[in-house]
Amino acid sequence: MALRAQDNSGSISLNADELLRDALLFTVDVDVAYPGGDRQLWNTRVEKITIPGRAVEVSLEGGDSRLTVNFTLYPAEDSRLLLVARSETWVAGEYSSALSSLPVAYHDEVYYYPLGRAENGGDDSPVEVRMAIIVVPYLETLDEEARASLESAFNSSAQFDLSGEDP
Amino acid sequence: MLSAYFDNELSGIQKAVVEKHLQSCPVCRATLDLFQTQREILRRDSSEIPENPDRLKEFWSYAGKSRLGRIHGPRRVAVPMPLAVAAALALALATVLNFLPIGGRKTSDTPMIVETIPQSPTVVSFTISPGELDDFFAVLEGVQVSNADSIHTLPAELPVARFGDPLIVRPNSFEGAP
Repeated sequence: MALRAQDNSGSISLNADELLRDALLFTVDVDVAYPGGDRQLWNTRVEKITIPGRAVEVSLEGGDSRLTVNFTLYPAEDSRLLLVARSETWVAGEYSSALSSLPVAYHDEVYYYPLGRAENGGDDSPVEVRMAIIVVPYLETLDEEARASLESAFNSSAQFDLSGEDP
Repeated sequence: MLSAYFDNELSGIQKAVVEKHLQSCPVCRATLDLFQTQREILRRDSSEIPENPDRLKEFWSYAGKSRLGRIHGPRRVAVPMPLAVAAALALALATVLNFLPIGGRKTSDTPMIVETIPQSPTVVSFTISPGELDDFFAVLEGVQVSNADSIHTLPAELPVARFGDPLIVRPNSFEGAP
């Protein structure tokens, strides 16, 4: 993310074009299923747009459980990203927090199990929570019409910086 | 001197002398007219120089006559020897001094510093403050993606349990696993 000082008053401003260039579409498919089983009991999709360094939060609340996971992407080598997952879980009154990380590439899918993995299970066993994560550059997901509408919105809100300072 | 007169750079006496000379010298008058013509052409802001053959013919006619009339044989001027020697020495001294570095004078090996006006691009940008970042992404998410609530409620009857530490893996890491 590129930051630059806009004026001498000490305030920081972010360039929308640069934000758009760095923006990532972060998709999380949350599945709840019996361990090892194909039958999906519950699922939802979370789609967020973010930039490297800005966390995306996914929270699940159940009967006696609550899971909050903050996913943050950081730039890594070879055009990859480091996915850092910070989880806080309350299950049956027990609190736990953990930090996990994995280098990921764009369009690659990774799985995150906030409560760990079960070896085996059946229909009467506890369920497993899996989060399938895919990261894509946001601009790649836009069709021409969406891009045009965005550019139009930016142009109508553009400011002229005639300070002469290099951006 | 005629050029200086045309540019109004002469003193009053010099100006009067030139004006008196102009009354009797058609060549200088024609030259003066040519200066005026050139100035008018330059002022017209046009790349094309209009032809004015009559005036040019007149000038060259006078100039030719004048040149022919002024060509005489070699003229000898008697200069006293001490004055000639002094003039030659002065000329030689001026020539030598001209090539010596004096004071702050720049020599040929002194790098020339050219101060350039820094390139100042005009930046047209849409900027937002960090406090508006969430709103900015919310607008983007509203353009295309379905922005679901950040807290999702699991069905209460689902028996959620902890199996171990959180795990982050690639799907193919399970291939071949029992």
